[in-house]
Amino acid sequence: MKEILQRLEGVPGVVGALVMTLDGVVIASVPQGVDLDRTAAFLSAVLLSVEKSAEQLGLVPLQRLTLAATRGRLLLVPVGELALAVVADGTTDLGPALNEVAGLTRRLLRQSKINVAD
Amino acid sequence: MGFLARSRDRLLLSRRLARWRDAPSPAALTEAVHTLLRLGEVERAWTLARQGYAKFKDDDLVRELYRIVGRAHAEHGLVAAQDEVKSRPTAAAFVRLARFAVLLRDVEGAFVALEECLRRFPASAAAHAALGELHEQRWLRDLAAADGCVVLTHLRKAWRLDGAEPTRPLRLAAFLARVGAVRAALNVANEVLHLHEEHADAIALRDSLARVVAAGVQAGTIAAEGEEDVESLLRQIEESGRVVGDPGDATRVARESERLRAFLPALRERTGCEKALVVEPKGHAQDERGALGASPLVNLAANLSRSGQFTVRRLDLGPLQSVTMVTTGGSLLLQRAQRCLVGVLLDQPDAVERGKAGLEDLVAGRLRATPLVASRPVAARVAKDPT
Repeated sequence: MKEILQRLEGVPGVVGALVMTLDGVVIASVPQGVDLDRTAAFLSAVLLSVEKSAEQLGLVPLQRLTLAATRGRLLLVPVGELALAVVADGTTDLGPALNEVAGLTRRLLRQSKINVAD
Repeated sequence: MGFLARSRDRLLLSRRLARWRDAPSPAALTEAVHTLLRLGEVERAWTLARQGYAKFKDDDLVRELYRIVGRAHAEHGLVAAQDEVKSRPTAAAFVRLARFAVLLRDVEGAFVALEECLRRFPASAAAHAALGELHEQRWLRDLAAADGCVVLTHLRKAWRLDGAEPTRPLRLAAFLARVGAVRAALNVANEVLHLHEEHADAIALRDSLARVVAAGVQAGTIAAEGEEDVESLLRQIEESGRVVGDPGDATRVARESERLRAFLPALRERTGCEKALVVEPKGHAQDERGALGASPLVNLAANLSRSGQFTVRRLDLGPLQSVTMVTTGGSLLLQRAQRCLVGVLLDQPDAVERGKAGLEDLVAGRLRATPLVASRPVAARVAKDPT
């Protein structure tokens, strides 16, 4: 998992990334040594707080949640029972990063399916 | 304009000015002002328009005339200030250039002019004060702590560089009070009064702040000694998205929400969205018909707005600008427009780009406003909601 995440580190504009369970436990993160536990907890809280209303509106399943701020962006992509979060800067075109995220998501999805089958 | 028409205007001008002088009316004002504008006498037209506005400010025609002539005056002033900056650059010319740019809603141009001014004239108190004011406007828009700190830096520099001018430290004191640093504000007001003992505004501000401090100390909300940590107060405001201690804050948000609602019909047309709404910082939502009660859409938009703001600020990404939630069943987009968020619910997943473009158009003022059915007046809404 970490190996896949490390591919994101070289993507222009990407500041950090993490894979977490939907209840906020960090599975892997880059860059190394940065404490992202609280970020994962916040993201889990965000997902929980919107889940019920989104279901009532028929806005399911979630494909992508993007929070854009003045100094950067946060992308959240659910992958099976996990979620991938990417923090990127606010100025770089996110196209390449998004493609990388999509590729990574697909790989993670395959991996999670294999894990489930195991 | 042809020579004959101009000659005719010259002949008619004195008669039209006399008519306005002898029997002032909106029609007389309009004729005189238009004649002056056709003759290229923008500043005289502006003086007359201001006189007319003072007399007939309830008249729609006069208000529109005032707006048009005001714009012409600003354009004229901007060109003159640009020429002055090129031929005889002084700090005052840069500050004038910035002020005219603000009048023409070119805030970025004003920032550039003032930053260039400070690069060339770092000791210009007027430029620091003007830049402080601009940053304060930006701070009021998205409550970023970083902007608030810059306001303080510039206003303090302006005060230090020209201690004889009392309006700048008073502005600093007012800003400190607005963010909740009342003791720091009181100290500034007291310092101003050391130099300007009779200054009526300083006395009024000092007295009102002293009352707030005394009441706060008695209630235990303000420490008996020492100034507040202003940076920490600014961070708290950024996180909560509200200026709790500022009585004008609720009114500002309510006015802004009223203004944004008028653009929702055009936004719906532009984006083809299912629903469009305005979400206020405290989570109340409205559409063009008025306030919306609790519903899954309102709950979702309010939750995304609140938790999104909280998350990006914890990640130190600055104030939230937009939220995009894409699902197989549709999308919800929220875009910040000053302090509120405007949202669209799209039932087609591929409509996201159209939705984003529509929201950008709204924020940039490219959508037309629709006159709305009168809703509860802003003052009544604010009075009912004292928090």
